[in-house]
Amino acid sequence: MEIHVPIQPAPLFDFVVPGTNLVVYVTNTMVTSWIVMLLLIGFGIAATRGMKLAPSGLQNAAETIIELLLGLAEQVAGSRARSFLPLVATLFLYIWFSNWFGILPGVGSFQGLVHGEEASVLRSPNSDLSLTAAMALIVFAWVQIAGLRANPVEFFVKFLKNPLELVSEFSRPVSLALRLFGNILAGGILVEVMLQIAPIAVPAVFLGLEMFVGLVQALIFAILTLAFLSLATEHGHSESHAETEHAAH
Amino acid sequence: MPPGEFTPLAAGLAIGLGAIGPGIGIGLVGSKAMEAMGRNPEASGTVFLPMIIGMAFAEAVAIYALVIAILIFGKI
Repeated sequence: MEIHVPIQPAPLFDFVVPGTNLVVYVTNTMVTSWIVMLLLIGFGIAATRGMKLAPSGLQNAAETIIELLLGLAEQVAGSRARSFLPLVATLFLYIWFSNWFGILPGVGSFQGLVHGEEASVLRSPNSDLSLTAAMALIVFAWVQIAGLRANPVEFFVKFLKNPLELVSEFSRPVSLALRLFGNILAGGILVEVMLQIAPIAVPAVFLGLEMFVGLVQALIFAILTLAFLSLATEHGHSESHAETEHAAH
Repeated sequence: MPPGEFTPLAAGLAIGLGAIGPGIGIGLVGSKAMEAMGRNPEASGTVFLPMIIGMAFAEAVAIYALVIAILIFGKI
């Protein structure tokens, strides 16, 4: 039994940056993620063109999605949810959409010859560790900057109080990136294995499972981002402690 | 140690043993959340998100094991 899900994405073509000897590889996951981005941006432009006070059509759909996400975000972050929503909702929509795009027929199964080797032309974007790591690093940087801006003193004091905070702080992007990558890659391998064991009807069940996993992982990535952001921008513990004590008296 | 005939066993053991803990953990989170929802159905909305987050943290450990298993398997 041979499994055709390589861990590394295959470069489709490469070019040298003029004037340097830097080689830029354009991989199949990059091409797929560009398609996903174009579709999402196209949806965004189409939905916000000629906005009306009483929404209809695409604008209505977009507003429904945003209101749903805002409601979820307010459960975690309360009144600050609105300021975190642009990053969190973008991450959610992008991860969700690219996970579902990745299980469309054709993605992963169209093969092309690249430098004499067979490679998929399209591939689920999140089965590339580079993409998930890039998103996790964006979240990491954003959380640090948000924490530094919200309460600069607490930002440094927490490391002095408990040096293990450093470990927890740096393990977050690692686990964020590996969780998404591992889930999506393992899902692809699972479907591939099932396809080899029972080629008829059975893989459809696992494709359904993959759709669920894709949605849940997008939700988890977004909610963890939100939780990290709201933890980082929380006002100092001593202050809130004093407040509750004051209220108790 | 060069990759030998026991290397696939190592990969299998890595993910197999690594999935025990997270399996128990996710089961505990799920059972307690269902209990809470059953006792207080109005709270299901507020219980659901923390449940998902808790499961995600437990699941991350299994994913680490999976990554190790894939790394071992890639060496064969």
